[in-house]
Order: sequence, then C-alpha cells, then structure tokens
Amino acid sequence: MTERELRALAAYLELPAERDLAPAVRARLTARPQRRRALVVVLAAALLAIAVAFAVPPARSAILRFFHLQGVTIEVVDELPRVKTGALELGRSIDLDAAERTAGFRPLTSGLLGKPDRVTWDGRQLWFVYGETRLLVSQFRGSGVSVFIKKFAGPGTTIAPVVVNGSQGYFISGAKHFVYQQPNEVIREERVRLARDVILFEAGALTVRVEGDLTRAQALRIARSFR
Amino acid sequence: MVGRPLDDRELVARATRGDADAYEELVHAYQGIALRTAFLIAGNAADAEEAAQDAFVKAHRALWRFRPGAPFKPWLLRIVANEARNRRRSAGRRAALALRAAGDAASGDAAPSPEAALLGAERREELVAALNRLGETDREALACRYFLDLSEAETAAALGIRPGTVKSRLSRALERLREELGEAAP
Repeated sequence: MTERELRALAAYLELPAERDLAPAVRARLTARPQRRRALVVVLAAALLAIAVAFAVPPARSAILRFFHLQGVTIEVVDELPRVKTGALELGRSIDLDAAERTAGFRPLTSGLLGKPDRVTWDGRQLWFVYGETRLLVSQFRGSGVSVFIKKFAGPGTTIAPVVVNGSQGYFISGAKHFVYQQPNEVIREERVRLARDVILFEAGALTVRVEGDLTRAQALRIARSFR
Repeated sequence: MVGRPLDDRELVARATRGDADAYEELVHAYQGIALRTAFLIAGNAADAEEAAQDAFVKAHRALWRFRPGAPFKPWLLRIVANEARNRRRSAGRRAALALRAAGDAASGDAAPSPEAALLGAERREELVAALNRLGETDREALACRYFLDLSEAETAAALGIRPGTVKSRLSRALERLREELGEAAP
C-alpha cells in the first residue's frame, strides 16, 4: 500500500455534497442581539468632555462572561456596540446638603477626596464630579434591584474582583467598555459613552461607581475612602 | 473596475470589525473543506453539516482571539474537528468510511485522475475495509493528510497536536494500515 493509493482513494469516498452554509450561519449570528437591543438604555454621563451616543448595536455579539453586583451586571462580549460621539447628561445640579433628601438615601462621602465640585441627580443616581470631570462617582440604591446598570466590556477588558470595605466589587480597566442604565427595562433614551477605568462596589444597600484614569491601587484607595 | 479579491487576512480583519459580508466570504471559501472534515470525523452527513455550521458560528465569536496574520484555514478546521468529534462521541458511534455508489460522480471532479483510475474496485474495497478497522486517531490523521489533502501544519492544527507529532502519527497509522492489509513496509 502506498501513500499514492490513499490519495487516489479520496476520489472514490462517499463525501457530503457541498452546500451553502452562509445563510444559516448569518442567521444564527444575527439572531441573538435583537433581543439585547430592546434592553439597552443609557446610564451614564462622563468624565470626558465628550461622550458617545448609542448607535444600534451590531448584530454579531456573544456574551462570553458575566459578573454581578447588586443592581449591576457586567457582560464581557466578543464585540462591543458601535458608538458615535454625543452629548452627556448627569441630571440636574443639586447641593450636597440636599442630596439625601433628593436621592432618598444617605450618600457616601470621601474623606480622601473631600467635597465634590459638583453634585447632580438624574432621578436614579447621585453623581459627584471632582476636578472638572477628572473623576466621577455615582451612587444608587442597588439592593432589591435585579439589574439597574448593564455594562458591556470588550474581550480586551480586564475585570478584577476586589474587596472594598468588606464588600464585593470589580475593577474594570483596559479596553473599551460601556455602561447602560435600564430603568424598569423601558427604553427612554439611547445614549452611552466610553468609560475609563472603573471600580464598582457594593456599600450596604448602595452600589457605588468610581471612574477616572486610575490605577487599581488608586481606585481602591478612593473607593475605600467612601463611607 | 473590478477590485481584486480580498485575501483571508483582510477578510478576517474586516469580519472582526463586524463586516458580515467579509465573514460570509470566508464561509463560502471554506465551507467545502469544513464539511468534508466534519464528515470524515463525525461519520454522518447531518452531524457534519451541524458541526460545520456550529464551527463557523463559534469561529466568528472567537475572532477576537484569532492571531492577526495567522492562517485562517487550520484555525477554523480545528474548531470544525472538535465539533465533529463531540458529535461522534455523544452519538456513541464510530465513524466509518464508505465508497461512493458506482456511477456517483466525485464531488468537484469531472473524471477521476489518472492515478485514481488505476485504483481497481477490489483494491478500493480492501483499503476502505482496512481503514475502518483502524482506531479513530489513526484514521483521522490519514484522512486529514491524504483525503483532505491538508499540509502537515494544517493536519496538526485540525487534530490539535504539535506539528512535530504529525509525522510520527502518520507513520504509525500507515504502519498499522499495512498490517491490516497484510503488507510489508515498502
């Protein structure tokens, strides 16, 4: 028996007829995100002077991993939604002294950062802006809420579990990621932005988010200063 | 003016950025070899089609892990082979080679090559019977190299083994095949 005989045998073997797999493959790749599109609404505002407005998410994206905090789900997906630049909204400005009355919860404050330069309320989240949007902190009541923020992270994003004052958190850094708010899963607006390094953590009934150009150590130090 | 066809590298790059048409071109380019690979491993046409389809879907979702500039075909065939193997295992059967019924045209060939024409019917049956007595590992290696005409590097990728292992695996498989045929090594 020679190798030549084996190669010749290939011509006589029963093999399936070639067929066009492309339509079925395309249908399967486009099927899933249709559902997601209905869930996505904006969360945030920004540190940066610009933000990004949500364009329709592309059809092909698969969820690779999940992370959860109270009121937050972080999905690592193989492809992020496409975005374009747009306006930011942090809600209306309020006085820090009025924050508890407005938000309905006692906000955490940072002994390390001191008084924020601006405080806003968007109807669901309390925002602290430091240094002309160089650092942004949001707080919201996360307990009892299944999903309030949905965050999409690209495959190059690093998501590291951290502990902040004894509670669970995640430090998210690296590649691009996006945050969305989905109040009652009703789409009210479609705006989203590129986020910088973020630490998300639980603090009692609240979930707190700190965003800025931070190392993990800096982010942790700041996060732990919120009491 | 008609533009030049895009090569795999450009198609992969575009597909990774979400270009569905680019990925469709890749599917068209490799669906034939994907189906044949899946069939030779799974041993069943329906499973082969499912495996090939699943492999294209999984490959698309894993494009972000694909090393830019690497050849797409062996990477895809590895996913295809895994899918096909999973189906064969879950069905709990052995894949078996079979000869086409007399009169069926070989896929894509207008006529057998001169070499193929010299392989007599009795010899073909003898070879297929001997191949079917081999273990799956031996038969998969021989199928990739000789029936699918993959290079050694592509065979290594499809089988998930090191390129250096392909030669020795093929050599052992050929030796066992000769034993089944009652022939001495050339």
